[in-house]
Amino acid sequence: MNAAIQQLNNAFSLIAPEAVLLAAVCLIFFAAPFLVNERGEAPVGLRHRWGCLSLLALLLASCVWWQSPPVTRTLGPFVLDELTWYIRGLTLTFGAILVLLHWNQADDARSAESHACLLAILAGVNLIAASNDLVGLFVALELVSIPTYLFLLLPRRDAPAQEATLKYFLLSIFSSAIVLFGMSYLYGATGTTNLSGIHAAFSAASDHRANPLVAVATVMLIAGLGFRLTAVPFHFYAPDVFQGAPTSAAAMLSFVPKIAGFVALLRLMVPATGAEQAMNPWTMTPAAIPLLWWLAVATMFVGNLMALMQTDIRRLLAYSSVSHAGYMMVGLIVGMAHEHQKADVLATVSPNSVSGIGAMLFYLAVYGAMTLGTFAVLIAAARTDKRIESFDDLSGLSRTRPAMALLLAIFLFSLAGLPPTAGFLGKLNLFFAAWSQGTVEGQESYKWLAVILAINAALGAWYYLKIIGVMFLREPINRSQQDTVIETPSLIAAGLCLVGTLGLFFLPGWLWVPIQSIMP
Amino acid sequence: MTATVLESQLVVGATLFILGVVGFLTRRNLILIMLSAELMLHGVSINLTAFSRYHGNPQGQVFTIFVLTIAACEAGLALSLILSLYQRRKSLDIFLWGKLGEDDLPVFTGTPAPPITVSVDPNVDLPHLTPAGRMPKTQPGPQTKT
Repeated sequence: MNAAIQQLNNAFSLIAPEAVLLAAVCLIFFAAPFLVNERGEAPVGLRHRWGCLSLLALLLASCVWWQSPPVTRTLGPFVLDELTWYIRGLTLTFGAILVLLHWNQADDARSAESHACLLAILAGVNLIAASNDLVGLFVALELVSIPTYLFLLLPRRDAPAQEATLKYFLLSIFSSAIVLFGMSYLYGATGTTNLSGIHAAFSAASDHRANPLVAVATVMLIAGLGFRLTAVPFHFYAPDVFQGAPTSAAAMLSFVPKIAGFVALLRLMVPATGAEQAMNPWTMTPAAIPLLWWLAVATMFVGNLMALMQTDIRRLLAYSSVSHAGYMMVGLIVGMAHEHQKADVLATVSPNSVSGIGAMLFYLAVYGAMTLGTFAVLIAAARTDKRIESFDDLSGLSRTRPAMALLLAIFLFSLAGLPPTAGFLGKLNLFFAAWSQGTVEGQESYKWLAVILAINAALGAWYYLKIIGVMFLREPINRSQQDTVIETPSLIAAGLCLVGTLGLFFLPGWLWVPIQSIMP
Repeated sequence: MTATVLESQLVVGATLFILGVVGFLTRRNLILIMLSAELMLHGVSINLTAFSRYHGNPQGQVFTIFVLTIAACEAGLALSLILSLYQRRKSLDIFLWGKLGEDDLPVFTGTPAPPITVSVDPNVDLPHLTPAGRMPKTQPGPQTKT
């Protein structure tokens, strides 16, 4: 009994930052109804207090995160290794930016619940990174998706928001069921739900033939998590949901589910640092790599080609997020292929080549900065009566609000992958990772992946530059100075994203060093 | 437990899952779509318990309990969402919720669902409680129109 309590205490210390966030969620959910009267009205300005409380909770969680360095891996349900530590830092930082974006999006009466949902989503992402068990992983994935429904619906409860929520809800529950089916077969094949145990079982069964249960599980897991990544052909909901949902929710959806999906795939497919990598057909990798290869190619092409045809800025950003998911999948595939090789083949690869998983994790951070920055400018440049929807709403922005136009142009340059922005560096890393993997004997398909990535980066530049052209070359339509609003929180968020986008180009080292410790 | 028993249990689980998928993709009533998704989750629960027996460890059963709990959460949220959707359109037909989409694509509406008409025939003998006590006297005089 004492041993069990000891184990529980140890497990709790591994997830202390999440405990702080969830405590804040409980506090907000409990306190909020007392501050709203029977008619659903709240005192004016209450949303600022909830925003401050959310920021305070994130700050507290960050302190706890900073105080809890990575520890050695155990067989318990939670793990705190370098990957967990890095992802936590990422979610807490971008969580603060999302709170700033969401500041004025919800009205005073609903602000508390939507902020609490946002914090719960962030805690869920951290728990995914910290889970070492299929049960924990599934519960954490649901902790991301269930509050997302509320987060989409609560700020504006009109028909488009309801439709967006409905679409996201139905596809999310469907994908959860598919992931769960894959997990059940994975458990059946290995006899344990512990992820370390699963990878150990894979290495132990080195002389077996390929296992059909594992192959089915791999396909199901990739399909189900593909919904979270918005990988083609599971991307259909993304444009509709981005169009209907509030801007801050669209910003959240463009970034947070992608971290969740990629980290879950990493946890499932790649054993932790230092653990023995199984080199046999029994593992998930042989089935996963060809599947992910084709998914990545389809995702990049469909995302970019569909984005070319859009006139609604939100739908365009949705397809842009689809294509960026494709770029990151390239990094994941290359990393998995790299991990799966025998040591003697690895020795032939030049030692200073970029690791695919490292490049993906770097791109994840860069992508967060640039996409959240874009949405921050869209929120800040909105008019009092109308949010920014079509290209016409942006035309001539350089005349009416030159600073906004310049900021948006920098973020779009970064999304297009042009220097001097971090987006350029991120894409270059991914390209080199794929190219150096392609130089290995018998792995030429990765060279093609690098080429396809480069082609798509060029395709993508076209529509980002089209928006910049609209802002700087067209005349303003129906825009006058007096109906602009000052959105201080979004401006602060845009400033932070600007620092990230430009800073990571000039000083990539301070992000690259912790990444190097994840994948040596 | 032998492998044949495991196999037949897995077949049941997979069948439930596939029935759920088919129902999810073909139904147009919001509540039935949600129930089909629940069917998928419970197909997985059967898989998990079967594997748990086969391997002789309790982890699969523990997993099942978590799945049931989360399915209940999803159902609760789903019903409240469906209720708020129903209040706007006064129908559970999913085709009424297709306004967002590509501009140049035709919106598939399908045939409109027949309106739900609840006809209450006054002559039908509805089930009722056994009368207790004395029958009150009916008021004589002109019937008031309601």
